[in-house]
This record gives sequence, structure tokens and C-alpha cells, in this order.
Amino acid sequence: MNKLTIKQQQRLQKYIDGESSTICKFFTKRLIERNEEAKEFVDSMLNLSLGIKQSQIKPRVNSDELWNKISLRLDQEEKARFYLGERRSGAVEKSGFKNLFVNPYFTGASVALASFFLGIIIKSQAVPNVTDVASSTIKRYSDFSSNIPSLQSVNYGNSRPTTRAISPEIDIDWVKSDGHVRLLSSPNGANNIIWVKRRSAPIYIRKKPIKNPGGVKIIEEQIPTLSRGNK
Amino acid sequence: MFIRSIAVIFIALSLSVSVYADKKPENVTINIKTITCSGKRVVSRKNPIVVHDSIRNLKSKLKQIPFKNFNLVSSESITIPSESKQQIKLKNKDSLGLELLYLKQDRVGLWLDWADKEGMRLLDTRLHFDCMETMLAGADTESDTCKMLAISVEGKK
Repeated sequence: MNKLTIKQQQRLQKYIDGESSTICKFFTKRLIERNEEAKEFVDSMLNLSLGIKQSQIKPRVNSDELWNKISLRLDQEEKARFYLGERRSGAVEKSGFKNLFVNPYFTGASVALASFFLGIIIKSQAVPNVTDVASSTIKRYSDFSSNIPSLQSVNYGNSRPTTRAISPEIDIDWVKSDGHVRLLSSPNGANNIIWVKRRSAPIYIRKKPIKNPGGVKIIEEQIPTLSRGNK
Repeated sequence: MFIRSIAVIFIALSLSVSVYADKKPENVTINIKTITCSGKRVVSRKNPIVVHDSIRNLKSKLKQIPFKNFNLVSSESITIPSESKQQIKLKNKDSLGLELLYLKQDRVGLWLDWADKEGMRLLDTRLHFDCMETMLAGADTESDTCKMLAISVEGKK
């Protein structure tokens, strides 16, 4: 068995790699058929390439690239902690209900629906709860009005906003009037009527025409007429 | 993802706010009765009052007023939009400013500005009363008579 020369090994290598020409392929095939060592060489080379292809060797990562990836991941974790809170340790079970809120459109729609219904509820309850205010202040009024059984007198003065007057039926925030305002009610506190009593008309004092305002009496002296005899 | 969610929530909220902002004012019909009273009396059970048939439902309230005869001068039903001030000229030439503040199931809020024909401000007030009740306000006049307003809410239109 002849040993393969370097030139033959190179030719066989080119043949395996598919780089040889047609003529070169003919002579290489002839060499493989005639030379046993050439055949073994080709078989060993094919087995080697097949082994390399089948072996899954992971590419080695450069240490600089690895550090960049680590720092990037750290930044992401810090941002996630800021927006989403501390990460829980252990596996978190994702329920079907939680998965619904992963979709931002679904989240927006649910928030809109919730705010819509919340608005309806707030609108329906936005009435100033007058009865509550009334019940708290009725006591205050009843303290000093207990001595007035039939005519509850609340004098509001003239053109002056006042504090709230309360009755079971009518709740007055403020009142202004050119007259005296009173709240008439029956002895049981019901049937309230706002009553305005006009102010009495102002009294005008007419001044009498005074002939002598200073009270000074003017005495006209009688000047004697000059007689012609004196001239 | 987070920014997109925020944007969608913001748009949804602004849309829902605009829905409430564009709410149309509702029209409410209010009945205003003008009543005159005459003949002074002392308020007691011994001195009964004489009330016109059309205002007989107000008799229990009118008993507290120191007048004997009560007659209906006019009864006007007006439809006003809520939260807007309206100026009404009554048949007895008094002027009445009215604003419906709100109308809920059992309570109504009103602003009331009542002035007589001479321009004297009789009553300028903001008050709340039961929807089913009639609010009465009265004022005596220079002569031995008085005039009254009976305001009630008939309902939404």
C-alpha cells in the first residue's frame, strides 16, 4: 500500500470539498479506487466533517459582550421594579383573569366602562343631602325656638345673607329682603311658609315755613320825617 | 406596553368625561299660583278661613296666616330649563326670578327672587323643599291685604 503524497492529499481534500475540476475529479476517483489508503483518507475526512456537523458546539461568548448583556438586564430589572414593584420570588401562577389585562386595549376599555358606571353612581348620589344637614341643624334651632310654639320667628334682617334656616320641609340656604322675613310653621313644625313683613314706611317730617328762622326780632325805628320847617 | 396602556386609559377617561360634559339640561314644569288674602284675623281655631276651591289643598297651610279670605288671582305653569335663570312677569305685575338648581326624586332646589311692581325686593332666597309639597311665600301689603306665591313642581318634560 503506497503512502499518500502531500499533493495527493491536497487533491483528495479538494475533491471532498467539491472544489476540484472535472478532469481532476476523474483522476481522484481513479486514485480512490486503486489506492486503499486514499480510500481510508477520504472516509476518515467524510466521517470527521459529518461529526463536526452533528456536534452542537455553542459559540463561545466574549466576556465583553456578556458583561454588556448583564448590565442591560440589570437596567431592565431596575425599571421593572420602579414601575411594577418588587419581583415576587417563586413561580407566579398566571390565571386567565390576569391574562385579560395584559392587553392594553382591553385594560383601557375596562377602565372606561368602570369610570362610566362610576360617573352614573356619583351623578345619582350627587344631590346635596339636604335632609342630613337639616337633621343636624334642627336641634340647634329647636334649642332656642322651643319657647315659641306656634310662630317660629327667624328675623333675617335687611338684605343680609344669613345662615341656613332649617325646617322639615323647607331648607333655606340664605335669604335677602327689603322687609322682615319670618318662617311661619304649625305647632308640629310642619307647613312652613316664608312670610315677608314690609317695613313701615319712613315718616317724613314736614318743616313748617318759618318766617323768622333766627328768632331775631327786627325793630324798625320810626324815623321822623323831616319837616320843611327844619330845613 | 406600559406607555400604550396609559395612553389608552387616558383616551378612555377623556371620552367618558366628555360624555358627561355634553349632558343636555332638562326642562322642568313649575306651577306658580298667585293668591291674595284679605280680612285680618287672629290665628286660632275659632276663626276659620275662607279658601277658594282651586286652592283648597293649601288650606292646612293657609290657616297659619292672619288673614281670613284667600282668593286665587292666577295660576301659571311654566317650563324652564334647569340651571338657567328665568325672569317671569306675574299677572299682578310682580316680577319673579327663578332658577331650578336641581330636581331629584324627593327634593328640589330653587333660587327665587320676588319683587313687587314698585321694585321692592320682597324675597331673594335659595331654598330646597320636597317635590310633592307646595312652597308658600307671602308678603303683606300696605293696605290690610297680603299676596302670596304658591310654587310647586309639576315634573320633568
